[in-house]
Amino acid sequence: MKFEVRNGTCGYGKNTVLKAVSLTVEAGEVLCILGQGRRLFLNQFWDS
Amino acid sequence: MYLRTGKTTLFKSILGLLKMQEGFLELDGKDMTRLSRAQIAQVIGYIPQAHNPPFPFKVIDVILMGRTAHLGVFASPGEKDEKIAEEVIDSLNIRHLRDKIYTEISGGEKQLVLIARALTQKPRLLVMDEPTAALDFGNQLLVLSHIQKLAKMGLGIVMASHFPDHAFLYSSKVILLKSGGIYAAGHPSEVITERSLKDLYGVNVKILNTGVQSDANKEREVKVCIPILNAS
Repeated sequence: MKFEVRNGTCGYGKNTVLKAVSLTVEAGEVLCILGQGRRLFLNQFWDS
Repeated sequence: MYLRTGKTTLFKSILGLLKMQEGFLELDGKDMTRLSRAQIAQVIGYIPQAHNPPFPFKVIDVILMGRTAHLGVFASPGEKDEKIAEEVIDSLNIRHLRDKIYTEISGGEKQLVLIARALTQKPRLLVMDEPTAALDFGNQLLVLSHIQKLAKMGLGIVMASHFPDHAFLYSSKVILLKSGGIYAAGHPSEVITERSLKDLYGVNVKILNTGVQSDANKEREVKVCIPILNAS
């Protein structure tokens, strides 16, 4: 299994939240994503 | 100016809930953007933070919901689905929770049930949104050790976290997000540094080598982050 995001740009409508993200995860790997602002995300998106 | 760092946005894109504005999502070299939601759910399991649903479902019913992606629109889970759910229950050692009411079990137990629900999808990749958030110390380590076992069983795992220590303990690699992009990516000990944590979180941190070997990789020494709280 190989999962890959290549040069991914994502956001909402015309607003870009993340630019040029590339990552690869293969079977047996744990990829950990760290960064600021998690509560803001969760309140704004998942709980809305 | 970017107000968000994008972990959840990235997850929504990975799960196909949000179409990427640019770029490619591939599984084994195949374009995933052409797959339906059900097809994506057969490959990727998503585990949200533990929460209380509005109805007091039994744990076994919550776990069986993971089979939805494999069922027809009007079908309900059959014998084969129940067998898969029971196997997952045993693999996570949560048989004692099987007939309990989901809303009445602890946060750590809920997180294990949500992991079980995702595993019944028979995914190849698990996406976990801060699986240890709001858990006490013991439950954090319990959930993390299960995540480690799942990786050893051959699943790929993408996990958002707010604990650099957890990345040192269990991850094979790390991505740091800042200002709408990747700040750094690579092996945990190369990426998580006193400098990068200062840049990311705005706090002074000392990273110490513990002399203890990592569960994830016996050749790796576990490091811990100590916040330096200078009185000002």
